[in-house]
Amino acid sequence: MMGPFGWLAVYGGALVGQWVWASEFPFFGYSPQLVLVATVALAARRGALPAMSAGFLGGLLGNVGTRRLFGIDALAFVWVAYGVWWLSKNVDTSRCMPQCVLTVLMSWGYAALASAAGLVFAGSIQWPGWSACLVVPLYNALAAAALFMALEWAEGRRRLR
Amino acid sequence: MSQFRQTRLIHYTLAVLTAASLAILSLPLAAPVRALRATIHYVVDPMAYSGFVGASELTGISRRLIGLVDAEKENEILRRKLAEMDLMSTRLQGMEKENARLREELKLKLPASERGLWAHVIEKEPFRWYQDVVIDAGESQGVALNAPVFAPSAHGLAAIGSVIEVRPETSDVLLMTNSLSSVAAYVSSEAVSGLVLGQGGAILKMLYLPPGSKPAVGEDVYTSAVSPTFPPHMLIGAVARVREPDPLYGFLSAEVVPAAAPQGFSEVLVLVRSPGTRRG
Repeated sequence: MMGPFGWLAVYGGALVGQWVWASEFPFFGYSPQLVLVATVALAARRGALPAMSAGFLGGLLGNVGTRRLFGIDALAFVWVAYGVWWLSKNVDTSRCMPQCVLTVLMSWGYAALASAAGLVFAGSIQWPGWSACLVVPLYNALAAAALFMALEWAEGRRRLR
Repeated sequence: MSQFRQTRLIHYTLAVLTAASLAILSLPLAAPVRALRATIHYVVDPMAYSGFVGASELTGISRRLIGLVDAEKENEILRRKLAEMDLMSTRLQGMEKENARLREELKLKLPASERGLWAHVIEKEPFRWYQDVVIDAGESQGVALNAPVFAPSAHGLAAIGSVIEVRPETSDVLLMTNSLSSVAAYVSSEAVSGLVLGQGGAILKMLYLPPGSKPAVGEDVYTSAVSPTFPPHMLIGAVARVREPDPLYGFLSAEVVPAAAPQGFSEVLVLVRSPGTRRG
């Protein structure tokens, strides 16, 4: 199982990768939410507590460099981690496909929560648009699959050692 | 850790982190946090960066446009100044000419009773090119009959003729090249006197040179002190050719090229009486 430093690297990579991806390589104007994907993966693999903490910090850090409401990602990722943990009671989240499905669900949940928080704290619904709600979760699912395989590969190497 | 306890811990954590997130969302940010956000936002946000670059470009364009407008205005001002400079240059050239004329005039050792008056040649008839000219000075300016007239030449002021008719504002000048004109003169090196006569053409004729004299080609010819019209020692021209002695009278004659040819002057200096004096 990957240690805290490994997850720290994953989160750091997700933060940086999200910035770079969003700014330099957007696909049709959109890019995956790598921090959200990492939060889902962490919650599925390590449980809610580390995922909520990491999601909170990652959300804050991620909000520093964006125009979004400061703290909105922290709130959303905490609840994403909680949601994954809650669903994992009934779903086998240790496999790839459930993680991808969870990622899609959490992406919609994130959009809904962020919109509601925007309505409350910014006075307007920060709705990303229907196309974003369709495309970004798909990107997130693909990123979740890639991350799943990468983590499996890394943990496999770790087990071999 | 029991599952129940872990679930409770998760709920507590959820509550704490949610409360913290809501607090962050609702409370105003401190100035350092806002500054940090702005800095990071500026560095990493491509839209802000692109906006900055675009704004910089736009700012540059406006600055360049302003510069172009300024340059055009400056160009207009410089063009005017250049035109003024041209005008000043022309005036300066005129002043230089005037200065040269005045310097020549200063060489004239005029008696106290006379002064020089500059006048323009206002009429020159092609068929009377070597006969006479009309100048824009007359009785009103003090011009009198038989007043000597000079013109600038390459070697200074040279005698060109005398006034033969005076009107209130204009006068006629009989040129030395006119066949009716004659001036007592001498050749510089020999100091021999003769009489310079006009021939109606570009060349003057100097008669009555003593048979023994040997005037050389190129020697200057000056007005003689015995001339009743001209002041002495004024340049007339230069010897161009010396002729054989006249078989009847035995004197020499010479062809003289006027120092100031009629086509070479447009301004002349007329000697006029100073105010309050009478010509002797």
